[in-house]
Amino acid sequence: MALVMWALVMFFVVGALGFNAKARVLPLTFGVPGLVLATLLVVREWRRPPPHAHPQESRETATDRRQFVIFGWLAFLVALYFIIGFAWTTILFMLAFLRLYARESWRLTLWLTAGTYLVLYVIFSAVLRVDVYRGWLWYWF
Amino acid sequence: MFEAFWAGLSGLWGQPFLYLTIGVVFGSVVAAIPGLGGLFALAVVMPFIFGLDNLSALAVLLSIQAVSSTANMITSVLFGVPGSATGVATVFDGYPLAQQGQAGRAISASVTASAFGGVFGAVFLVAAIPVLQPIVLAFGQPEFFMMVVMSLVIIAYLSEGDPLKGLVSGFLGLLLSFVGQEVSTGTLRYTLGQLYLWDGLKLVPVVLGLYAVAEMLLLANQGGSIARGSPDLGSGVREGILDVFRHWWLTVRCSLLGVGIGIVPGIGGEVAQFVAYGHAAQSSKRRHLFGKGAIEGVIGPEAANNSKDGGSLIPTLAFGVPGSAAMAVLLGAFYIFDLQPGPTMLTQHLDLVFFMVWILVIANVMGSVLVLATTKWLAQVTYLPSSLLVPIILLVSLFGAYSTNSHPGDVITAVLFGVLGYFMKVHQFARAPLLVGLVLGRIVEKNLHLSIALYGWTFFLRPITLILILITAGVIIMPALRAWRGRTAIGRA
Repeated sequence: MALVMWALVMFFVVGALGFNAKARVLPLTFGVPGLVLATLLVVREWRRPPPHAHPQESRETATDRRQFVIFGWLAFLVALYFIIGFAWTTILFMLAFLRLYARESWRLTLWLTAGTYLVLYVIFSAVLRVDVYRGWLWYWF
Repeated sequence: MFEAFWAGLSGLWGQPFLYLTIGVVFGSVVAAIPGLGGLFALAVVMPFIFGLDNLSALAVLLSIQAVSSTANMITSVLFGVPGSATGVATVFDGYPLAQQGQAGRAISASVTASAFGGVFGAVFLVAAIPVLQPIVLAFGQPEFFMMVVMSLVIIAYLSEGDPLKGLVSGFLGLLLSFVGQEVSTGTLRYTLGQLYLWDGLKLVPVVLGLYAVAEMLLLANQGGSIARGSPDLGSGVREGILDVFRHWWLTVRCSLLGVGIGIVPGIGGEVAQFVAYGHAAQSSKRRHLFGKGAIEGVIGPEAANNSKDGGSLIPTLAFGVPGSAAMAVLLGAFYIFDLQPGPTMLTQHLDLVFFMVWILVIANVMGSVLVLATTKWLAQVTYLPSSLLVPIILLVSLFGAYSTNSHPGDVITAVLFGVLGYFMKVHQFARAPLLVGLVLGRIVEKNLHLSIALYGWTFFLRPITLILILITAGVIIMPALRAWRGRTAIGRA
């Protein structure tokens, strides 16, 4: 993660070199000290002794698997959102997550899904006319 | 003045009081939803005020603004998700308190401090009326610039955990604030060829991503519920109220800070909460507890958040210069009802000014009572399984992110910062300095360029600017001096 932060700061510093004089003043003023600190952090992290293998390794592998699953659900949510829009995503995501991931009963799943849809879409969108994203499919057809 | 004082109160009888109540309830519900906030509630209500008389319209608008600062801490405490950009600082200690099973205490301390701050701000507004003009006119771009630099220095103390990681986060936040079109030359910076980024990164999606999406990813990963251990809600609620009285002097100081920042147009409520939090941390004898559930870390920002509303009404009423975005909406309402802010407002319509003061006082108290009455029920939510909360809050966050500008780019921003925020927390990089750097970086640049253009480099020599420089130097030197004294005392012993 230290390397990622270093790379992000470096991106801003290198990018600033291409701007005109006035536009690059503050990015470089903050970017150069930021890069120095990020470099110190990377060196410090690199010089730390590596963690020894321990019995908890199998638990950490399980945590990594769970993390992968969670990010998979997030990707699924975002994909649904952009393809079919917010209203349908609310219904489909709630049903899928509560049944497949949380393993909740159909009754609780349907109640929570209906409640969430009612508040977000019916009250805010339909009654108060708050704009919601309709999805690529709606815009294409 | 006394006639105007009672005339203002009597103006509330009847329909205005009904609309005040509606505003309190509506504002509390909307502000509690992450990403929406008080400004959203004001915008939604604006079309409906045309059919009202001016007193009822002012009652509903001001009451929404008054309670939004109170209600937005609900999700900050319960889920670690700020209800709006002004609810971020409350997350730092409110959420750890909820995780320790003290959600009731955190919420009741928040609302009590909010009520105090709101009333304080309203009273200050009344007291400041005779001396308004020289105060507001004395602040120019150099003072704004110095005030923000002072805030940045204070915020440096917010970096919980590893200071080096916190500083790197802070600098990254400052660099992120430069995304978009540079104000003085129009140069496009770091826009990656995207029109969406020309205006820079929008604050609400970033906040929602860093805190809402990231926290829900973490919660889903760890499983269980937000709070561990058995709940102790009854004494917790009483304890939270008593905490505000125990720390009464901190509450007063942070309320003063909030008013002072609210008076200065263009600084914004986001700054008040961080300055108050930084001050609370710096002045506390239990500094090591901040970020882990120090009740002062909840009281300070909440008092400042509400008191700033009274402060931001000062330039709005006295000069027609909105002290914040919400005040800009209110100013719009003034013009709709043919009310002219300025000297005539303070001389010929003083009863209306007092009417607004009474709205602030009553709405703050009413909003706090409403939240207090539901605290036990709200605190129970922290014991619900995470698998029930995660999908709802993720959906609400995406809804809130899109609602800001009706642009799908905001949703992508929220998700990307959500992933960044998740890994930052896992690898113990503080997120607060990044957010503060993002908020304050823009203000620093804008005011620095204007200061140099208007006054040259000698802008540092202006009297108020010099005072702010001395305060900033004091903020840096005092802790070092205190530490040196402590080491000297130990050496002697």
